[in-house]
Amino acid sequence: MRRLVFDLWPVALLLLLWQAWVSAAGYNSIVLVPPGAVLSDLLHSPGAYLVPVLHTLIFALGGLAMGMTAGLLLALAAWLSELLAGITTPFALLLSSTPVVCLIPIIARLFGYEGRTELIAIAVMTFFPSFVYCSAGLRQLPAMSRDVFLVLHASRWQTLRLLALPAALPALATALRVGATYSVLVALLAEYLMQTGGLGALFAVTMQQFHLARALGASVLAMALSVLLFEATRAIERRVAAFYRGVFTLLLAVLVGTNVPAAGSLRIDPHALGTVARTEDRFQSYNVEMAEVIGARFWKPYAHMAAGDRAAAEIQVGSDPDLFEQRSPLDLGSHRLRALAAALGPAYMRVSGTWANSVYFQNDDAAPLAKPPEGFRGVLTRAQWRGVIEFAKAVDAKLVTSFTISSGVRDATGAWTPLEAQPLLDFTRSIGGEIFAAELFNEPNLPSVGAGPPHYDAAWFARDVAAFRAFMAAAAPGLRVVGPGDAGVGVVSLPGPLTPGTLLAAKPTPKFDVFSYHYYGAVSQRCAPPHSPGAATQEQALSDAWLSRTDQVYDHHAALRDRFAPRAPTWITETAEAACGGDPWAATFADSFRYLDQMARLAKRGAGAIFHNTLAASEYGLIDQTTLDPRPNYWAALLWRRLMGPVVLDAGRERPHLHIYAQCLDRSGGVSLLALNMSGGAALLDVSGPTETYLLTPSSDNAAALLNGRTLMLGANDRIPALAPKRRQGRVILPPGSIGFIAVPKAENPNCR
Amino acid sequence: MATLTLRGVTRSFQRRTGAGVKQSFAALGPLDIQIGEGEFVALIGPSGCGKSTVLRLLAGLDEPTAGEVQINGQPPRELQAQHTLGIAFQEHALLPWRTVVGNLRLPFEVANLAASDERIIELVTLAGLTGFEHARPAELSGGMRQRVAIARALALRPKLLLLDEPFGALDAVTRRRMNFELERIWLESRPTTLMITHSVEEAVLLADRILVFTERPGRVRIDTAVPFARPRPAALMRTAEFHRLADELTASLGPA
Amino acid sequence: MKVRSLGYTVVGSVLLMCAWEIAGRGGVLGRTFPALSQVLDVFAQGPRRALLLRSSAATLGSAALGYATGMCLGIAVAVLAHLVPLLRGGLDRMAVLVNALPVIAIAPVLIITAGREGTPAALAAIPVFFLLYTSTGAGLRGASRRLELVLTTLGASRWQRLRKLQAVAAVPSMLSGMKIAAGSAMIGAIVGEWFGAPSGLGVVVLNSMQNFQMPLLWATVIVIAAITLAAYAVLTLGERLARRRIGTCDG
Repeated sequence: MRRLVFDLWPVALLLLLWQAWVSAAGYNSIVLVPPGAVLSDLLHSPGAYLVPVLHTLIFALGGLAMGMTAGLLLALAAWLSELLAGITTPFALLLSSTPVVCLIPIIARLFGYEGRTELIAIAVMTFFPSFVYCSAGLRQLPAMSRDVFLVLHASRWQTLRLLALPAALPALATALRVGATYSVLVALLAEYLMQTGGLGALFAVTMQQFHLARALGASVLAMALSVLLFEATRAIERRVAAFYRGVFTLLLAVLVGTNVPAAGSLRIDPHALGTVARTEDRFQSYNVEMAEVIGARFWKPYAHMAAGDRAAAEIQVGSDPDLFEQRSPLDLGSHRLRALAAALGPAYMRVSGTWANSVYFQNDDAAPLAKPPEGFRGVLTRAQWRGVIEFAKAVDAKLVTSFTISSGVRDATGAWTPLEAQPLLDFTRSIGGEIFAAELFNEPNLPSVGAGPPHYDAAWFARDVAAFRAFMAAAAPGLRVVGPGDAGVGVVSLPGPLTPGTLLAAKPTPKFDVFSYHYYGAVSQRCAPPHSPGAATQEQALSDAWLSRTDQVYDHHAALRDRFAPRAPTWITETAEAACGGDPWAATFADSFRYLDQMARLAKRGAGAIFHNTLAASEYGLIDQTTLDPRPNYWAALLWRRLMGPVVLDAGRERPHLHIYAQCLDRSGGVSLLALNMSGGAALLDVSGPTETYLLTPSSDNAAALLNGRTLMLGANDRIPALAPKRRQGRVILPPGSIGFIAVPKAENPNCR
Repeated sequence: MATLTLRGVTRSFQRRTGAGVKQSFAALGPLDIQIGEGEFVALIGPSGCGKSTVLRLLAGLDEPTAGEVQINGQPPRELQAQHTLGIAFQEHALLPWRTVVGNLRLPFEVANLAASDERIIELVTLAGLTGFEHARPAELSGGMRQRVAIARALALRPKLLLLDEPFGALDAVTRRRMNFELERIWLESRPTTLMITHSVEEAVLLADRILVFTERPGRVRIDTAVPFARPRPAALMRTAEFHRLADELTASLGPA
Repeated sequence: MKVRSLGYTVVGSVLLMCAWEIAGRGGVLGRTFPALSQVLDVFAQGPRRALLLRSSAATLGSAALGYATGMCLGIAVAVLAHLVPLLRGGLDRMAVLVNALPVIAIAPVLIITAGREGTPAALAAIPVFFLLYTSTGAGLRGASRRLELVLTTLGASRWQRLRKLQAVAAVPSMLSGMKIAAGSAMIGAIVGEWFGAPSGLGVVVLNSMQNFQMPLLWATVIVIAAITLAAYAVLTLGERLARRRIGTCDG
């Protein structure tokens, strides 16, 4: 809009010159009048102009339509018949070289001095460009398409209808624009000569009467009409050209102009997005379960499960032994694993989980114990812990852990002692490692699962936390105490009297430097029958309602945080598609929607870090635990790491099945958009400015992800492939069921500096 | 399926020399070739030796100056009329104003046959373009467009599939990947196929039989079978047999 | 193929001429439509021939003057718009406006400023200006992007790029515009003569129409068509030569 006004400076200049000229030359009013007089007449007697304007407009459009149609028909006839083509050529040539305006007198003599002559004159004038352009357009066929049609054995008529005519549409639009320019001109001349009505006649009559203001008013209106038709037809021409370049538009939009985004498209101006929250730089983080480190029993992969193992009668949380399988420790020295994890860095790595609650740290270099001592359930060797520390260093991950709380570390009164914590901390320090933060207890609201003492209650928890804090204050003052780290599964209330509320309300009030909780939207098929309230099919889990549960649960915890740990950052220390190892579809592309949507939502709410469970274990791992191949989720995570910075922007309200998020790309004003199209139709984004699009689509079996049409996989030597975007200007199309990261480096958003 | 016979086929063109004299020059032949059902034949040879002309003769786009071209004992125009010919060129020749689905429907529309949704989805899946059904050619990459062009050629389950350097306009990496895609697609229905290519490796990788042409006027210099089993794995390209055959053929393309 | 279509054109022209003769003789379309032979007869008459010759010279002079003026202005303003992108939007609009000015409206103004003799040239200059402005602008912008990048990398300044690449690349487009402008210049000159020029083909058209001398009217129209066609042919040849020299590498 601003540009439109700015571009009218020549008009202002012309008006100024006009005014100056009249004043300076001091013309008599029968020769020339100033612009003011013309404007005044236009405003005070609009009625005098109305009928003539309509007359000229209608005749111009009518003649234009006639001429365009005649030109098109003749071009079609010439296309179909060579004989006709030959005959019409001299005729067309003659017509083109004779100034049609000279033919007006002849046409007038032939058809009489009346309205229809005007129509015919305009038609004759516009016929020729239409004929020429349409003829050319019918021949501008896509390369080799004529041969394809021949081989398809298409009839002449079919070729015309299906190939030549659609191909000629852009040319027709150009002919329309050219014809429109002439139509008003010819209309005016014809009206002037024959005085049959319209602005031309008005001009002639008022000139004879020396009513110059009105005569010039007629001219001004004629000019406006001409410009209007030209702009309108040029817009149509542009629209058609754009259509043929492959941009999806509605036919209606053709008539409206070039600045209207097509219906069904979203307009985003990255420059103008405001901030909403801030996350940490290590926002996207991951978990490696203690069970993976020490090699314990963990969720049995679905592929290893016999038919009868599944489908529990009712929801259970991690107790049926048939659901577990002994696994060997994760090879944290693996080159591939380190390469993949390093690409996700910097991040936090949390080594915790149920097994961490009861692990015995064997603080010597003797052969690993075959059985853990009384009061413990697992053995962690020095070598294994060293592996963890070195891995964390190699991949730039800050370590977050939890400590043993089983009976093996409790004294006679049942109080927690740092019996295992002390040697672990000492050993960590001695090999140059550091534990950045720690929860005391993994999922304290499920103490029976986590090897907690029987009859564990909130008060006991509060005392444990106090002891823990006191110990850490002395032993590791910089270590951040994280909690409560309670387990949560969607809307299912977990058995037992312990809720985060009760845990936090106990005395002495547990104090946490970082507020944490766990969230799973559902319980997997291992632990929940398919139609129970805790389960979620893929369709259910990708519904807007289910996905928004993340927000509800966050808000609930945020309220607790504000009461008990105000201003503490919030970490979701364990989250994935579903508890109990995840559903089978958690390993497919479909989970990328959930993964990214959840992270983006939590970022908007200002969460500090999200820990995905897990990095490389079970169905919900980012990486396959056996082959160490990255899953589709991994690539989604990688793109998030590269493109979504810690400043979170407001990308507008949520649309059904189309979720758009925005965060700063970097510190130089760039913005990244994340668009999740979970609907059945394509989505269009009108983004101002040049964009770099990373489009993720599923492979046909959903097991792999494609980036801009190319399957993502590791290269030779575990090399991460180059992630190359598609550079576009403005319009981005997201096919149904696709994910688009759209970087706008030149957005110059002031919030991103 | 189709059996092809070219008997004594020659093709000559009229041309004006510099002096303005009209002269006829032989572009092709004489050719005597028999191709059996379900055979995948590759034509390789120097530029301008008439390989495309052979294709055009078989497609019914051209007539031989002498000799006979027969497909299943009938002239190619017959097969055209029965809508059992499929062709794909180096230029994808997709209609830019139609979506992928629209382009795949085209052969059905021309042949006045109903295109069931299942068949269209089958073709989209065959091309590996699920999710891009409503994209226009301008939104697809070069490799994707060629896949649509090939799927379109196969839409009506042709008896004869003709490919004129279908991957010539693609970059080397995409081209290699498309080679494997083509074999996968071809194995679905195994139509008799004639493919022109400049890449000896491509020919050895894909074909059952390779015809090497001489310089103009093009005649068949070598007719060799390719002994490898299908489906052909990527590892095949690292074997000694593969390289031996490819080297022999490349050597044969040298000066006569 | 070519021979056949040329044959058809010849046949078509002959048919057209015969039809004209017959229609004219039979008075099918009234007195306004004389037979072809009557029209051709006009060229045989000495004084008429001299009149047509004189008028052609006058009109050609005005048209040529207007053509040259419009072309120089059009190219100059297009180059300006190209070098100063800020002005381009406004100049585009101005060009459209100038082209849209109704002839009938500005004729009185032109008569005062350019006089009755100068009006034809002025009215010829305006459409030529618009056509050359748009086609030159399109040509300057149309230079292959890749070539432009090469020049920029070599450190060429804006002016150098204009000279070495864009100006040359713009020539084919300019010639297309010049081709079409020939016809527009003729039209402008003739219409301009209607407002009181002392001589010219437009004057002859007007007089013969008012005095109902139909054969002379038609003969004049034929002369106008012939001149326009000739100019068009010359310029088409020039365009073809230029295209061949410059080529169209899209790179």
